[in-house]
Amino acid sequence: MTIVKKYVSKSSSTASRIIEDEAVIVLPNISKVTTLNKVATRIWDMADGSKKIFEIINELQQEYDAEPAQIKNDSIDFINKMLTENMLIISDQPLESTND
Amino acid sequence: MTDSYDQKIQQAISHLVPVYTHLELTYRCNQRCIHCYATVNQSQQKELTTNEYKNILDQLADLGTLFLAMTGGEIFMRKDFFDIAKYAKKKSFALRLFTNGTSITKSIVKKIIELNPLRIEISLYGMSSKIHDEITKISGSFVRTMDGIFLLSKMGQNLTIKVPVMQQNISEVHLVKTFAEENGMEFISNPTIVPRGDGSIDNLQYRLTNEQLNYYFSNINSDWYFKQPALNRTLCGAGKGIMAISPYGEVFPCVQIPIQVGDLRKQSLREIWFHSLELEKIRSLTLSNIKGCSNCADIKYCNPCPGLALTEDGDIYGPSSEACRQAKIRKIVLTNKKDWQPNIKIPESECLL
Repeated sequence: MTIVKKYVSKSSSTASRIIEDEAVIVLPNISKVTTLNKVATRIWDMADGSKKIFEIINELQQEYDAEPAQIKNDSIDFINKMLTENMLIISDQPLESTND
Repeated sequence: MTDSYDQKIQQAISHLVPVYTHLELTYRCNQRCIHCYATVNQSQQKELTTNEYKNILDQLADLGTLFLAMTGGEIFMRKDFFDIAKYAKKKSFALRLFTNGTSITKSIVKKIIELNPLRIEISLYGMSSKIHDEITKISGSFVRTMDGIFLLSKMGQNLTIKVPVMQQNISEVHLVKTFAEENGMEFISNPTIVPRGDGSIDNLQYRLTNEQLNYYFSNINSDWYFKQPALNRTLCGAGKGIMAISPYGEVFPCVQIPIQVGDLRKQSLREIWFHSLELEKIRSLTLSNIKGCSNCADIKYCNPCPGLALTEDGDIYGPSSEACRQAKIRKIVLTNKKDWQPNIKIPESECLL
């Protein structure tokens, strides 16, 4: 199954808050913090375990003024980076959000 | 991803997002530390219930608090501590747990691991029972705290060892520092003993003498970030990026400023945070408001605290005498020069016969 058909959620190992449209994400176990820009924050916000990645991409393509293919590729790149950093997790089934 | 965390937090604070909140769960404690500012409420108020805390956590998340310090008293005195803490984790707070470490067991450590806290901060007063227990007034507390520290460390938790520095333990602070550094733990020390929550100042007698403070700044904590503050610089983040909430739902601009700005049993946090007139006054405090500070020669060595000025000197618009004392000694240590005393007088001679 390609990645876009998977459900995506915030990892329970993160703490985060959206402050003035930008997410601040803390990884407590390694004492690291990062901030996301507004577009990345939108993806982060939608990653609540109830949506598949392609559904998130569809919503972004409705909201943002850019070529759909660019939105799709950039979003997948971003999600892959967040998976590598253990900030997001993916699953074949809907995920119960452990972080509000 | 952006890499401007500091900028983001400063921006948030300037827009009154309370990024840091100090949540006191109880003033009850199983130790009787001689210096401690927390005093058990004398007026028989009831502590907030589990559900009241959960409601407050919802409101804090809504306002933007990210870093939540859970403290007391001793947090594990609350039987519902893990219910509250798990809810806080679910609400995506980055948790800091403040504890004396004496209640830490294997089963407690397992529950703590599930919370995935940012840091666990443990008070350790010396590297011997003699010194540590003399301060806690509880025999055996040093051994229990050290057991707790080792258990948490073995299970991979990020630990901060905190030492309030006073006359009783100045001789062993360097040993605590070495212990923390050798075991990969953060070390924080602080010589500022503050008045108690009930207003009493008997604990201030334990503060370091000038000579001891000189030793402390020379040998334990010589780090200092020089700042020549602008007169319109706000003094601190109290009431802007920081707030404190008592175990009875009272809201304060920070733990050091005992000016209650609201009551969460009567008002919403949003209403308090954006409409309290007292809070507004505190937010507008700048260096130019503080008598004597704006033209003080030692200001770039000083860490002025309006809370301390209020509790110890009685005037939030005045300098803090303890901040002044520390600034003078810090200046001597960092510049290796003493203050010049003008108008030297020759004392009247005494007759030897």
